[in-house]
Amino acid sequence: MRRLYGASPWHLLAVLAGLLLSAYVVSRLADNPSLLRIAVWFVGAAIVWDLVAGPLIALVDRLLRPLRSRPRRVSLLNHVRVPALLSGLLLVVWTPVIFQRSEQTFRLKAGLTQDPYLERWLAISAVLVLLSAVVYALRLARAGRAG
Amino acid sequence: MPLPTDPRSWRSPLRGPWLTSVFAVVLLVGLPLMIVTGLLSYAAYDPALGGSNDQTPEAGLLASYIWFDWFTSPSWLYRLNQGTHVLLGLALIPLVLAKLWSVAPKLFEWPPVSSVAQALERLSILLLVGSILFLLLTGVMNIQYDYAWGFSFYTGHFYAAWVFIAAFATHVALKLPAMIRALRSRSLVEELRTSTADTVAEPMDPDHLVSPDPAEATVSRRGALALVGGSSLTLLALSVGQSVDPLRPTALLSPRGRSYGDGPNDFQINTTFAEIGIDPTQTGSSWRLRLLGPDGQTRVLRREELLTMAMVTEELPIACVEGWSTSQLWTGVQLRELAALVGGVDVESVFVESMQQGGAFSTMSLTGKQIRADKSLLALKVNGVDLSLDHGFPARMIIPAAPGVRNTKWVETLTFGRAA
Repeated sequence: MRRLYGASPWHLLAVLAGLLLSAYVVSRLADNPSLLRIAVWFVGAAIVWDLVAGPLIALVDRLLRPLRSRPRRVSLLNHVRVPALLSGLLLVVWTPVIFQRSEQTFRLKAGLTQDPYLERWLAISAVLVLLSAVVYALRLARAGRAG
Repeated sequence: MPLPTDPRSWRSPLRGPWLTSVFAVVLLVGLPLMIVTGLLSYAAYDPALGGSNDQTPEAGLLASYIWFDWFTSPSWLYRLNQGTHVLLGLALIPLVLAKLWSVAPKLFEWPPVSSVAQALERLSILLLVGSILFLLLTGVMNIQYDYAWGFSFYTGHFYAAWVFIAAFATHVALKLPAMIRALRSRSLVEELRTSTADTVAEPMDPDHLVSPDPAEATVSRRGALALVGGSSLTLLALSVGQSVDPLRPTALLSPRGRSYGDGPNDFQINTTFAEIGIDPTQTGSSWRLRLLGPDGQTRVLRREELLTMAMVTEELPIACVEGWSTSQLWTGVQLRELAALVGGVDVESVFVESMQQGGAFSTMSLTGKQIRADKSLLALKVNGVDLSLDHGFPARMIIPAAPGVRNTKWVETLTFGRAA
């Protein structure tokens, strides 16, 4: 078994049970015209994250490397990384309202515009950068006193 | 630069079974909660009633776990369930992404397949990753009214959830022992005391998560955990106000963190009067409520007649599938009093029709349990004044513990003993 299959019978059972349930789910949608679109978004989400977003974040992070000044004891790197990551995360999560992608639907549903969100995101990002800068300054001052 | 298929191209000294397992154990608590609240939310529509209640008529066995009619108390049940589902979902985004980051080298493993077992497991992992990203994406877009996918949110989110449940169960069954082993391999307390300078890679592992050529650490494991945890808390802190009335203005980026003003009708609107496109005069003195009984009894009531019936006032939440909610003081006639007028108290269901034409939820059915619940109202007033047009004037349903869309607005006809 192990030689033919490559793992224990328990492994085969666990994998097959999961795949069979998934196959049943897909079979329920076999006649649904949405199936193809759902599949595209399903696979697309994985591809965009794994092959586009992931490498892009790694690349940007690599470009930030020079911020890590070795001689000085307090590195700037993480004080840029943290606000950038948090601000980026908020941007990605709230993209539809920040870029007013659903302005029309929202006006009909909620009776409101999506005008304030870009400003709010910018303000939150500014606060994050400021907080990070303040912490950096405090750490520099402390290192200066100690050194 | 080496290709990503070369293990030496992965240089973070933080990647390793211990860190992956810390993310995993948090997800192992959070994701089952997502599954349970998600399945409960689906049950809260009472899909067995058919029609608009059943947004996924092909569900087959996937809906067979619902052996009960949805609850009518406590009245905050759906508010709690759905608030948890959406807020927790938002808070889990950084953890899911961190977990995926921590195992990224496995995606590029070369050769991609070395045995049947591995091929099947990788297929199952593709379903796991695809489904969780799909669920997060559709959920996050849906709460912002961005329906760019071109399919029904209910269809996509429900079926993808079942693929996720299947792949997640497989993954836990296969990886639980490895997770426990990895968690025991290092002390959390010790890691939380280790500075960046003292951070070195975990010992090489059989799963090849640890870099064979680790770079110098730029952040400690403590720092990485703080970043992920801090990101979750940031998302949570900026969203919780959509479900907690006094905190509403703090939900800065949520579409449901906005104020409409201080008036009695100034609370969250879903589906404005403008959206349904009917002439406002139809809601005036010509409006009638039609009650149809199971044996052909009929009553037609004007709004003034309804106002002479026994009025009940209850504080009840409107809680949307999108996770936001708000609690208001509603005044109206008990649904069972209306049922009694046409001999419909003991029926299995009532079919509620709005003046709204078309629209996914302009008709909805309620169960017998909901008809007979003390707090089920046909509300005429809110916070002491007449409903506004946007909140369903002349009359709307308010059903305790039910999803927002079951609280039909602009009600015109109630047919007792009928489902969709």
